[in-house]
Amino acid sequence: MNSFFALFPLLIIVFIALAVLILEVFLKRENRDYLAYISLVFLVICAFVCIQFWNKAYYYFDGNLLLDQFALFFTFILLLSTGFVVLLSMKYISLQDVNYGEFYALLLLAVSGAIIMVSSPDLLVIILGLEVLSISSYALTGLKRKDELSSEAAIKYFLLGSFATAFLLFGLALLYGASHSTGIPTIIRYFNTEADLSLMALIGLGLIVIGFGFKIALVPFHMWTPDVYQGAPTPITAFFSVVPKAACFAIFLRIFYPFWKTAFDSQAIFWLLWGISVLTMVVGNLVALRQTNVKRILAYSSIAHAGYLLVALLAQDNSSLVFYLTVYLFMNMGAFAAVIALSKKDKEYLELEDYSGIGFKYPWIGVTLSIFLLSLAGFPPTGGFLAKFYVFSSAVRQGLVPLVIIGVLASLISVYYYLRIIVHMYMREPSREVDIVVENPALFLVLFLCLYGVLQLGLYPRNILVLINQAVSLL
Amino acid sequence: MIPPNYFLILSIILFVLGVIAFFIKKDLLTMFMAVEVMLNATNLAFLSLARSANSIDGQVIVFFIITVAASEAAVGLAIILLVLRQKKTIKTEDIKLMKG
Amino acid sequence: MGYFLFFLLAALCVGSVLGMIISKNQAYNALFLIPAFASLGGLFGLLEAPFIAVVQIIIYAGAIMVLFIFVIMMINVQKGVPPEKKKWTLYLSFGLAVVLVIELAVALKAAFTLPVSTETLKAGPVNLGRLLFTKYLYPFEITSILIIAALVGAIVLVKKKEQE
Repeated sequence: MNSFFALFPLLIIVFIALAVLILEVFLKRENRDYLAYISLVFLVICAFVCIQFWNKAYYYFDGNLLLDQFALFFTFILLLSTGFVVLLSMKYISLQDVNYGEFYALLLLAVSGAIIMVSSPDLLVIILGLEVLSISSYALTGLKRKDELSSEAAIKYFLLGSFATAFLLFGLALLYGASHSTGIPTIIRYFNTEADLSLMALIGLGLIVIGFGFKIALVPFHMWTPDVYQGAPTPITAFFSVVPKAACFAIFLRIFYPFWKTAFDSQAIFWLLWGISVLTMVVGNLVALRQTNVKRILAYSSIAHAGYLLVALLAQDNSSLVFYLTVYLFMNMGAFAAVIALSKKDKEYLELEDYSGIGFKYPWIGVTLSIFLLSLAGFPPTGGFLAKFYVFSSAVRQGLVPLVIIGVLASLISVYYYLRIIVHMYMREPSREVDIVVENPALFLVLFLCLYGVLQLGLYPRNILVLINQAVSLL
Repeated sequence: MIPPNYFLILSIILFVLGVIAFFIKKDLLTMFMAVEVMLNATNLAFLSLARSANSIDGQVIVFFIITVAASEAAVGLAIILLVLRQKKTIKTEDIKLMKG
Repeated sequence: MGYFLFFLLAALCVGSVLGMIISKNQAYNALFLIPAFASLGGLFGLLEAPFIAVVQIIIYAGAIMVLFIFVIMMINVQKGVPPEKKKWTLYLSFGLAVVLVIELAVALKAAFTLPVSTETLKAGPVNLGRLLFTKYLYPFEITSILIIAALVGAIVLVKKKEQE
């Protein structure tokens, strides 16, 4: 197939981002919902175009663009989460006064960056894609321009994000110096064939891990996460908790799966990731215990989940990593949808105290949020349980027993703070007046779809597992 | 001809100086300048490694890094202006609404 | 002659960055960066990258630093900042400093074994352009998306509030 056609999925997203920018001028403020509908329609069209490329793993543009099943599956994950975020934003942006047409445009540009990342085997292109994603994210974070929290979050995200980009690029420079290429296959071949590896290459790879670690929010590179998650508009927080993580883990899989298999000396990098994984699981869960803001609790919980995902990476179990990401997408989006539901004009209810008695006052929100939280904590019969089960059991099979013990203990700790929210919802007398805008069909659609996803993946995951195995088989 | 090693060592020194500056400076604008120094150090590293490998690919990559730096500058300075308008200051010790 | 130029430019560059670290005035910091970036441009020239050297001076020392100074003009430049240690970066800065020192030590060792090529590079604008539009066409197109994202982001953050 022609190189130009392979650009279609990306072009559709970028085109619609620009179209949204232009259309915004012609639409009245109260008609801005149309921008969301248009974005949704084209996200679906993009997904359909992607299906056409399934099973045709070709390289395009001198090997800079690769549309294999793996890239396409991650593109689906990214499109789906962006679709959820668009649905969540529709009411939210007019209630919270971030009703700019640029909102959707930046969101679509951000996801186009993530799509560029997952569909390229070249680290230069990947870093450029990450930069598109990051730059749009910085702007999205600061979009609540009257809110000081939002701009503080934006400046923290921006400074630490660009700091991380510098690390990534310096790491890339060292890898380029060692292997004379920026393509992942060539770099891996270098690690594969050079018996006496120059330290330059190892340090380069280490710097790349650190740079991506910042973007995924792995401990100890996570300090920005809770503040950014708290300050950003809540649908954008939901976006941050899924899309950059999914994209960066896709890159980790592309780098490390062949790396573990063939590299002569992978010990240093293995133990680096091992340590980061332990720190991430333990610190993420422990610090979450003393948070009182629900967005911050979810921020630390997403940090901890990145730790479990690293366990899957270390266990070399690609399909359970991708399965975990898929489940995580549904349960996390769902939890954020419930948090967004608890808001009214210019006011969001985010403190734990506000959740007292919510379960009886708004039964649908209470029930769904409880299920998402139980899934995040890893209770059966939800998808969260199955995902953790797959990850930990394959880690045991790989002989990573200490890591699994730490992981299981950490997720036991996490049960406490997830249950604390549920206890507040059902077993506390309402202490504050909470009054929310109930008619929000788009948001309830997201709640329902995520509920379906979490239960379907928990009870009958076979179809999706077949798909995932196809996707990772060609790595 | 000067060996590329010299340039690579200089680039590492500059990169570390940038990191140090990022952590000890106490205003947002200078912290961002430190990031620019780090990116420039990266450019120098790419060029010296390209020289050593005798290929001009490294020089093309430097183009992309300069683009990245420029677009970061645009968004970053906009965010700094936003903070400045709200708080009338860009010192880091005044950026502390969120804790925990 | 080459060595003399290298050490002169390297000293100028490191000295200016050190000046930026020591000085407490934002305007001076920005002014210090201009010779640093300009001398880097000279170093690029020594590395047989004349075109990149020109681009460096035009974009960094020209455009980006002008932007910085433009922002500084909007700030009431305060003299000095109280010597208080930031808390939220303290933990990290310590760890990273240690890691970086190790990295520096090790990488310096690696750097001494870099191969030296004596052929001259054909790094004129023609060759660079040819490479940019063949092998690097895809990243080149991506930079257009990057610039659009940056433009939209910057404008939406600082534009005037629209009329209700």
